[in-house]
Amino acid sequence: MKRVAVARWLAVGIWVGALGLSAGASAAQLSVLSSAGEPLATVMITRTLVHKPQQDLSDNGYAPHGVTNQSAVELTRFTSAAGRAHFPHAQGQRPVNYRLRKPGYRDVQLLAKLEGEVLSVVMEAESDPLVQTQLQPANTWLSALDFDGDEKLKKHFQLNCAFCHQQGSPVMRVDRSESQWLEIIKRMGGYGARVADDDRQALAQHLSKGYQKLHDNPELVPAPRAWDTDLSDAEITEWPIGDGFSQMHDFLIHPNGFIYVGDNLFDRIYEVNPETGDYTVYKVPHDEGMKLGGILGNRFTNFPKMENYMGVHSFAVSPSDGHIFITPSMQQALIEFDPVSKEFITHKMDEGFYPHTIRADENDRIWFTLALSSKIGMWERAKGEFRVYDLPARSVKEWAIIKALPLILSFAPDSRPEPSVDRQSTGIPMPYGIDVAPDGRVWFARLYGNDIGYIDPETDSVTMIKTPFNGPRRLRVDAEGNIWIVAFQDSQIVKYNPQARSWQHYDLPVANELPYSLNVDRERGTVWVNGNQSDTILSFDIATEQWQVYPMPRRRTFTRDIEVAEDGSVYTSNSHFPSWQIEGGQPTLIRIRPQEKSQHAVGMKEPSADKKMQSTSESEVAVK
Amino acid sequence: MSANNLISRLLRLGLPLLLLSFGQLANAAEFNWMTRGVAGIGMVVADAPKATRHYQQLLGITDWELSDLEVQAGDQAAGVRVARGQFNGMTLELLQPLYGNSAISHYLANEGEGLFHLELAGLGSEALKDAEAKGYTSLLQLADHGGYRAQWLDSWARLGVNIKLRTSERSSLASWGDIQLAATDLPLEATRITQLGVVVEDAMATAKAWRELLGIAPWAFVDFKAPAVSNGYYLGAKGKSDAYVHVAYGYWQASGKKFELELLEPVFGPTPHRDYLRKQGQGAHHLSLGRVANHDQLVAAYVSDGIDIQMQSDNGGEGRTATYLDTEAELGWVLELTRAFEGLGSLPLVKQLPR
Repeated sequence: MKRVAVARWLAVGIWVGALGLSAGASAAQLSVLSSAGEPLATVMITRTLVHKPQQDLSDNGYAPHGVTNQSAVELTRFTSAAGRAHFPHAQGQRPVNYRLRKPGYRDVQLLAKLEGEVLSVVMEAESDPLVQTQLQPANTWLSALDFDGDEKLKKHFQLNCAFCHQQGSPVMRVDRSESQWLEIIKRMGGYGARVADDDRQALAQHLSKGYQKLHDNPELVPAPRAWDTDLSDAEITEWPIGDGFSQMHDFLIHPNGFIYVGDNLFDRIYEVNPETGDYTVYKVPHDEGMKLGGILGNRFTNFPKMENYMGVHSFAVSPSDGHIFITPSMQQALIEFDPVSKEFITHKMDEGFYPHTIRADENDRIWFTLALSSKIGMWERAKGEFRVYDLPARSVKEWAIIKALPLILSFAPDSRPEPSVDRQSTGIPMPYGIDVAPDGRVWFARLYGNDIGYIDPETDSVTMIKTPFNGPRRLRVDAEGNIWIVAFQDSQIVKYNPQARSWQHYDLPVANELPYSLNVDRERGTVWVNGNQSDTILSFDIATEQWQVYPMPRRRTFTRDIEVAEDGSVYTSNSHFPSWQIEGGQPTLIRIRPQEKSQHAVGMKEPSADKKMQSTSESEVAVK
Repeated sequence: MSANNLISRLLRLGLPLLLLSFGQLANAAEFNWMTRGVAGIGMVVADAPKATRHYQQLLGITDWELSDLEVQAGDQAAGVRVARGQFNGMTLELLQPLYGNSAISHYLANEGEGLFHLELAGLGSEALKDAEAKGYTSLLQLADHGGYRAQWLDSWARLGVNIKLRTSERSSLASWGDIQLAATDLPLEATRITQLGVVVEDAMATAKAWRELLGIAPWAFVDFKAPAVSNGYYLGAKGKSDAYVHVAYGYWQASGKKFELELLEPVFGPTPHRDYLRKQGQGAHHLSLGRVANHDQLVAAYVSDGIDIQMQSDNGGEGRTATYLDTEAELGWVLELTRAFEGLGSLPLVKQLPR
């Protein structure tokens, strides 16, 4: 006999029923209906713990070095066509909160106190179009900003003003005057944004006018892409780490099964155990007397706190001993971390500025881009030596600026001469993404240079290739040796076939998304793309050329790195800068299990013995 | 019951029995490999005399005999320096390629130092004939070295290790020198090498190959995965158990001695077996001292000597600890020891391959 207890959620006018059924020993099942009584499919349901684990955050708001804390793990699932979603037990921790979200409907918050509950929830459609529009992802607002048809200016704006954060998120799109926008553009320039000097005034005009127009006419903002209906197989797990001042930039899935995440602004590495949610923080050491911001100086003096002496940026793992190599963007160095002894070694180098994205090759050579000086660096472990490859300048002026960079950076940050900035970012072509192909060639992209290239380690030759698109930011190589590149401000991903020297362009399935990075699951033939304007992660099946879009649980999700785990699940981190723009002000490490049919079903190789258990042959005996 | 029915019933019952009897007779006629125990294990090393110091440090082997042999690899001759030592009833042979091309020199060039062969002694030439009849070919041959003769079977691809057959009764090699090293204080008196661990692509296929060639059966298949496996440690990650290795166990049992074969098929997750398979492919991976009463004391002694723990986990329940020592740099293979527990605990026995 079902015993139904119904409570009215007066604040949102939602009916919630707690059915006294057992949905398994310790699981919960949610059933979601529309106000018309119809099952609601593709409702995103996020479970959070009401009582968060106690954490030692006594080191400037973070865990002290070597201290292990328990993260308050969050789990997100989507309802099926029947409007149902199932949740496993929450490590015995009750009560839990369920937040239900679906575009066009009002969020529901639901407190569940008992294990094994079956909860019935009614969601109400959002009737106020202004509220609905305000809650939409940034890409919808960005797509409605037309810059009076000046497409080139819009792309320049997207490249430079969506470099680190969303455009069109609520804090960005409040009505501002031209002078206020100019002041913001100037401030952002101080942080490192490279809006062309000649475009600043026009940009301020367009932003002031454009947002005012959209506020007055919210119907001009298009609806977001509807969520895919087959998301009920997916599962998203989040590990909240750091705080609203952190920047969880890049990370690494280590062969030991832990995830190592770098806080770029606080020189900390988070070692996360995805099985338990435990995480341990290791502080990257810096020399005594080093200044905040390192070589670049402290560009964030108005931030409440900052510890970026080194600037933990990108991660690679050595194939020989599992040591982790980290680029410290604010120093001329490379950091080595031994995950067994937990010790750091700093390798100092004399040449090149802003060590950026990093990868290791099969010969234990560590390759990284040097973003400010247009070089590629390589640390040859066998010899304990750096080698630096110069990339060609696009003009004599650029060559001169690159040559002058050591001199410019030798000045104190507050008295440093600043070369003028043009649309081409002359002087800073910015080597960015890098990857090692199966044949050993090292491919890289120059974001402002609009080109890619490769180094052949056999000959030490450098080859450059102009891209027929804008904004080649990060890239990866697939199993066949094709190069997959994001076209950042062009809202595409592009495949380059080095054999045929051909380009294939693929539009993203989300309007005005600006893809920061991608990765290729070489085993399964899938390209995973970091969305950062639409609060989504996108997957592209290379064989069928079909897209799948995964909405992220937090609004204002901005991601820069994506890694594929052995079981086919993918990890990313919410690295919105600043992080306080993220919904709840909380950065997270995020795992997406595309199909949660079983814990490890995705792409798992089954032992042959198990296969045969179904029909035992004459020479094999299954044991009950 | 009519005569036809009777004949029919007899045929139904009798014919299979008859066929089974013939099968047993046929089996009985086959060569029986299980008359002698495993006599030794061979390792490829870059420098045999130098390598003895690592075996002294880690296994306490103090006395070594050095021999230089010329083996035939097809129509080519190749020189091999051998250092032979004894570890509690087992002969360990350190094989250093000297000149010429052979499987030993290729192994060193391609894989580095590591486990190379399992030695079966005193089986005579019948064993070789039986192996050849089953499709195995000769890898190396030592025709005659003062009355000592041996053949190595090319069995790596199928068994994960090469088989060395000593076909002579003579077991000692003419030696040109000895190495005597100082005794260590490692408490190893009660230990012996009880197991060879082989990393494989397919545990069932490899178990069948062992059964086909050597008659080793039955095999028991066990799944090492959570929740039966807990408190995992590997590559600096403590507290992880989200890994899965499908393992087959078989036993070489002869002359009152039991030697265990462990075939490890990594399915997913961080394990040394996964990484070995990725780097080197299928092959002999570790030797185990088995279940030892002084596991914790030994592990502490190794760690204080500078040997790290490579992997550790509780298998089948809390405290049923197995430890892999990070000895690959010194030995070219991993040394394992486990606490002295009985049975499988909560590890699931999922399948058997009978005789």
